[in-house]
Amino acid sequence: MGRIRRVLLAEGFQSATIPFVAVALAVVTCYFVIGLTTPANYPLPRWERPKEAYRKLAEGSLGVKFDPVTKEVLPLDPISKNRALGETALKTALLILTGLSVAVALRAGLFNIGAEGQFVVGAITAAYFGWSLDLPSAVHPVVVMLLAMAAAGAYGAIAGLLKVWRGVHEVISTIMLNWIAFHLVSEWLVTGPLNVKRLMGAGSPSVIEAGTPTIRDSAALWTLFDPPNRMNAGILIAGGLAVAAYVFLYWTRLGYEVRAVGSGPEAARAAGIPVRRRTVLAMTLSGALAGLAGALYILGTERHYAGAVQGGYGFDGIAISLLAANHPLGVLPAALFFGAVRAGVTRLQLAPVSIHKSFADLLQGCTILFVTAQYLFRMAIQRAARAIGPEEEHDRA
Amino acid sequence: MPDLLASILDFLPPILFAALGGVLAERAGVVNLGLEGMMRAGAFFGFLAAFRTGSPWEGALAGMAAGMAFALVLAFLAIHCRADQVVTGIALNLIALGLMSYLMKALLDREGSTDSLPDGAMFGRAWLGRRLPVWIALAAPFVLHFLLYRTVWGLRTRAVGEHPRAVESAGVSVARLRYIAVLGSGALAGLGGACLPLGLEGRFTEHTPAGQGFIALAAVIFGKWRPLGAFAAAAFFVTAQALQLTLQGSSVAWAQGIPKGFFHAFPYVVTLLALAGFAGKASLLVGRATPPAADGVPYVRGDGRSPLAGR
Repeated sequence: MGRIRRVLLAEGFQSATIPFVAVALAVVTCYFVIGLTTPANYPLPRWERPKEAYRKLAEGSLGVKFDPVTKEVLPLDPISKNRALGETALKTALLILTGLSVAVALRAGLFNIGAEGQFVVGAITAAYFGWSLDLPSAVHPVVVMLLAMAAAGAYGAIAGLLKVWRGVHEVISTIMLNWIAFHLVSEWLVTGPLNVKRLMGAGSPSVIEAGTPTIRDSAALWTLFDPPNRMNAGILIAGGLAVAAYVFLYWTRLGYEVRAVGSGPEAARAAGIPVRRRTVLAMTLSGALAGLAGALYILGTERHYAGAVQGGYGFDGIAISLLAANHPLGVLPAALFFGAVRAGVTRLQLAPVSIHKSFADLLQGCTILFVTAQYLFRMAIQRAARAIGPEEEHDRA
Repeated sequence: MPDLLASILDFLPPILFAALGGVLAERAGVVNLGLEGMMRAGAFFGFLAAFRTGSPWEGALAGMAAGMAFALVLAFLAIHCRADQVVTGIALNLIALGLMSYLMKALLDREGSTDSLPDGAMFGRAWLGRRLPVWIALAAPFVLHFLLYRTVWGLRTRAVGEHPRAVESAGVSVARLRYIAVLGSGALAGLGGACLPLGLEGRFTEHTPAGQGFIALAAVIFGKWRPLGAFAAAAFFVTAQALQLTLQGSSVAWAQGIPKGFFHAFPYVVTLLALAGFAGKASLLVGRATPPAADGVPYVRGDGRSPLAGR
């Protein structure tokens, strides 16, 4: 019994179980939301609807079908399965990067709400240089991605600089910067200087309706499979960067200094670490990661910046980082989960389930809420531990 | 010019109510980043109630109740669970985004946008042809100013945002004051949201309120966390939006050429400049914008030795 008590009370155990508990509670909450709002004319019993919804979610994301009668999990036909897995990989790649963006900044004690805006800056930069530069296809995507990272990194650095120079809290400045980027890009650049008609002339062939011109074929991100599987190299790049971020933060001196600033700026300063420079560095890296996500979005699937892009990937990054306890490697499974949900919701829109695709936002919001409510969970566990046996000396650490 | 003034007045209530909600919560020491989500909940349930009953008053009440329901979650997590208020606000925004689109489809079988309310279900036109919420909104900042600066409750609420320990030692409950402030904040944001379908647009769309909650947040900061300051800031920001519409409709060529994005980005740019202390006396405020001292800081009662002390 004492052993169970010790496990329950261990900080490691509690931290490790919180993400799973939060996801499970969010799934259960949404199950009830769907069941309680089943329309009166739904052909099947009321509580069949949420079950069917989750089955559709699995179909659209993992390409598997769950047979409710035989209780078997069967793969879909190869084409649907490949398409589903491809979509999940695409979404996951973007989410890994925005998740890393938030996580890296949080390791430095900075809450980057601005991944959304940095994503937009990266995307518009990639859209422009994907069209304007003429390079061989082996280097074109690389150059464009680096340019997008540089632009978004600079945009992220603004918040870092405002913090160290003027004491502006990064939460507020990044929120403002999000909207500035969104409005200036979608209501000025895309309709004005970078508009396809302005750049190519209305009469030229291959002119699309709105937004920027289509990028050159040489700039398109390398695909890994044949259609309909749209999976591209983005997932490899994002996965590699997650490992790189881990190595940087935990194995290098610079990364150690960034984390030291996050653990306590005063102590870091006393230890001779240039706190201001590390703060700006962290915000720059954070912005660059979110900007790369924007570049993958354009070079991978969209091929041009169409009107208003507000994919919410930046805000998703906050959810992912939180679920991953801000660990770069933890970002991988968290992004995979939300990527699968994002890919799967397109299937929810089909009748008879007919659920709006923003269900993903609901599920994600609930997950964050349950993570932030972890205090209740920790209290419940301590109560459970107390119920198992009397308090012992070594429990009070 | 009368057109410009008319659109300023029309656009003001949603942002102003939400901004006052933001002022109320933050003066009590709770950061409310969920204004956007509370507005969205208020707009949807305001629309739904008015649509079903045909009464704008019931719509406004439903909108306030919806905003308060979201605020209750924020209050509980912020006050009892010492949760990160920024993250909680973001989560509420996401939930409102997803849930309202979901409910629009589930309850009204609509995607993208609802049908329009019949004119009888919207607030009627009062003085100068403006709808009723406009005139209520113009009075609201003065009411909140009076409550915050001229009543005992207001003094305590402001104190709780600056120095909660002092309030506690005077024998007043910090949690209770913060609950009232956050719930009031939700009611105001919900009312602001409800003003969109009931007093302006007549419908609810998948993008409602399209960032107006964040403009309200900017107005809170630009107005230095004061009701009258937020009023001035909200009016200033709304003028930029109204000016865009007026200029676009005007016959002056150079005015039409100014991109829409400049006007829409304007509130955020000036707020950022004000925060950085660059705006100086040229702006509505003098000096730098500084939040209440205990804004966003969870309060732990007594000697701070909670069961989770040290975490």
